[in-house]
Amino acid sequence: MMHRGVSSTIWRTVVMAGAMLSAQACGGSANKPAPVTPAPAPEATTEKPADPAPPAAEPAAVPVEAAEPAAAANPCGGPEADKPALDVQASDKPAAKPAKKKKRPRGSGDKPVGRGFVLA
Amino acid sequence: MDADDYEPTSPWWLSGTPLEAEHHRLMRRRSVPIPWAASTAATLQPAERARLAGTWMRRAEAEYLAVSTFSVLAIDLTAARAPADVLSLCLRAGIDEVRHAELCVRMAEIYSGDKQLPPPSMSSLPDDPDRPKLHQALANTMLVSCVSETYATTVLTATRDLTTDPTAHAVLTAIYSDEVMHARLGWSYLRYAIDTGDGGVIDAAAQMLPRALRGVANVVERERPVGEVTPAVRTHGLMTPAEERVIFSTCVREVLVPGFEALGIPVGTAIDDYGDAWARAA
Repeated sequence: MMHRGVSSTIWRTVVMAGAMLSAQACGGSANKPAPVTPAPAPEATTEKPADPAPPAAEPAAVPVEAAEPAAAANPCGGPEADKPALDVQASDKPAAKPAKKKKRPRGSGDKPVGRGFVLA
Repeated sequence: MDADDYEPTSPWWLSGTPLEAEHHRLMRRRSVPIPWAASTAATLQPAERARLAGTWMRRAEAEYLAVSTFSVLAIDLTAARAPADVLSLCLRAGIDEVRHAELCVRMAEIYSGDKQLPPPSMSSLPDDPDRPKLHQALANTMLVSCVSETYATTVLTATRDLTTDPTAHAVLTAIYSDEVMHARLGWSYLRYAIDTGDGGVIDAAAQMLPRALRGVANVVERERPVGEVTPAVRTHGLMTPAEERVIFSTCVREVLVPGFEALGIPVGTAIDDYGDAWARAA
């Protein structure tokens, strides 16, 4: 049967520690940072950005495990900025039908389900 | 035994590609050494081993499902521009669940001798594109983390308390230590959302609470693998459905309801719904 101290342990380590304590009490930042206004979304443009300046020197060696696998990000081509011509062509076409509201990927069942719960 | 004693947990579940090395680095990062060779499974009767294999395989399925549960939750949190620490811990939780699934698969193999894999599955969370992103993220965090994971920590603690098999005890301890943070993640985000969100946050939380409790109760109530839970089986990390009902009822009354009330969230009839009558209905 359930040990008498289980509830108090879970209350203390989960609920109290999660919702009642401040970050400072847990070794986090002392002050809540001021709200930051998010950067506005970049406006669409067909202008090709200026070529970036060539690197002044070879980058310093980076440990293998810390290096970002650049090729993995887009192994088939360059960055999105290299594709303005495609955008122009697209804008010449008649307006397409409004995008159908798509459901994001979900499990196949008709009831929401996850580890430890099945909703009716 | 120390962290250097790490060994691949379920090598039959790996890809056979160079990714394996990086996978082991990820798994070792939070590895708790498991004394696999110390298992006392050989002392059990065949029927007892079959019962335990069925339960541990079911746990593997649940942990595997949780990988996508946290992945889908991360989508909701990202859409709501959740704080960076909430996002990183949610995504780390998914990696933790991969490790847990491997641990449970290995436990099932110990009792059955079969190198099985969990069946493919994907989690699904309530999705209403018309509601504010914060409300959806909050509601699903309550479901996944505040209610489901908090109950998981409670039942894991109680189960571990009656487990004497050293291997099962170590596995339950490893999983429990991660689940505490998975549950805490939800309570912290709930507090953050209440502090920074609009007045609709409390309403969204209050609407989700009865659904979330019912969703977990549905799992507590469902049938178990065939086989008796003998005293020997109990020492390998298993309790009866009747005991689990009492634990859920106690968790609702002593942990969940006080927690939500402390944050100003109406709890309705939660204590009555999962009170003594429900706990004794098994």
